[in-house]
Amino acid sequence: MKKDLLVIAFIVLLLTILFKGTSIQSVEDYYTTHIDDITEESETVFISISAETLLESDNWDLLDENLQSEKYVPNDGMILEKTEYVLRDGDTVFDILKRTTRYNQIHMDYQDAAENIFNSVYVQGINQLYEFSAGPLSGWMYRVNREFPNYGVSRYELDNGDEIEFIYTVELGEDINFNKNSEGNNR
Amino acid sequence: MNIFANTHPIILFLYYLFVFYVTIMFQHPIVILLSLICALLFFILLVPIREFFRDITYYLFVFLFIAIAIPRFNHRGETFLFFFNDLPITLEAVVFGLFIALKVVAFIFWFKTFLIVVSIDKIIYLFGNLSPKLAVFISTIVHFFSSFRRKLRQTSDSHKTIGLYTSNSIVERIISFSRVLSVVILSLIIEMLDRGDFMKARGYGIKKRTHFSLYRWKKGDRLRLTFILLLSFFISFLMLKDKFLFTYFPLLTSVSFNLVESMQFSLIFILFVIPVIVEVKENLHWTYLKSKI
Repeated sequence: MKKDLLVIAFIVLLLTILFKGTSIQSVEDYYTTHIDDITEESETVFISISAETLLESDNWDLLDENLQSEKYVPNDGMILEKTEYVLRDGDTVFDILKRTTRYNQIHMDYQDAAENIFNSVYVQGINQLYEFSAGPLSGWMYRVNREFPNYGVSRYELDNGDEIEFIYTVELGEDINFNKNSEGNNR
Repeated sequence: MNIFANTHPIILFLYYLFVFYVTIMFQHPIVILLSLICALLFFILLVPIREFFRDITYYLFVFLFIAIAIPRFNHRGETFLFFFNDLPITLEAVVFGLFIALKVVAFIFWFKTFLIVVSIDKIIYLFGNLSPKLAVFISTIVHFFSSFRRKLRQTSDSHKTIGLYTSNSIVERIISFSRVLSVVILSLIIEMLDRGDFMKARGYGIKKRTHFSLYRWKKGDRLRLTFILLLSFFISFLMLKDKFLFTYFPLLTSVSFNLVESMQFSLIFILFVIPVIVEVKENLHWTYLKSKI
């Protein structure tokens, strides 16, 4: 019986460790956030989310039939217009993306940095548009100041005035002027 | 009683092939529910009631595990229920997980009935002439699954007689069980490896030899075959016309019931319910004949 008690204690310990880091919030709680006010001395960045590539008729046909609606791809293709946000110290691109989608109540799904081999967060879907939603080469890419960094969103630390763009691609970036060979700055 | 198994092996095999196909490929919740209900009904007719309830309780946990795991990792869908670690748990993903879990359980129960109905001699009969190696391979696998539980019980009984399994402690019971499990798996694997050799030693697979089998085309077998083929043809045709389409993401399609739709689903229901009808009908006939004596 001693052994049994020991095992039960061990299981309880395991469960507490498992559930310690988890937080469960209701939808209203999650979305009631406030964003830092922009003052004169605060550093800021710009962010936009665009699915413009999907508006071309060829790409539109590639898109999953259930997603072919204005709800998921707006008429002008912009899920989030270019907006200015306050940059906190040490913010990465992912921090800004998460804060803005939360503030604007846009659906966003990601794979955590611990879950993949790249040690970086991978953005799987924004506004129900997922990777592979429009053919096998489709997904989300990002660029900062019109350049595609060759590493993940949560490893790019931002500077004052940076301009982030999240763009949906259907051809591994070739349709949005991404040049694979030009980048040498792997981190 | 197992009357459905008396049907010709080719018909049985085609029937199961199509049932597996429909159960795995169709996403529509009604199809999944029909499949599960008919699999359970057929299974309850084949096995003792105690074994049935033991299996049900076991697969309830499998069901719960899958149904909980899927919405944890799938965040698609529009209707957010709550946020778990900053990621939405959606109604669509919950429903999707529920039906995937039901589908897995339905497939497992169909497979259990398959192991009972299509016995090893039938598999040898079906594939023996086509490819002797394949026949031995498939029958070995089927044998592995069907003899697993019997072998487990035998081994644990013999372990009890030499004084293991006596402690009341749960942990020691689990340790005993894992020892029995490793013994059984090892012995079954050795058996599998040996089987090829001793089948060869018996002269199995030599071209000149013929097999003896008891299976003959009986009266009505041809009718059954055409019925099943026609049914599968109609269902495949309707599927190619996207009649059984159901999408879970980003919004659930609504299920409506009109005359045409219920006709389509009754086709699927007829496909799944055939073995139950055969079994019940023959049982009734048998009790009727007995009552006359």
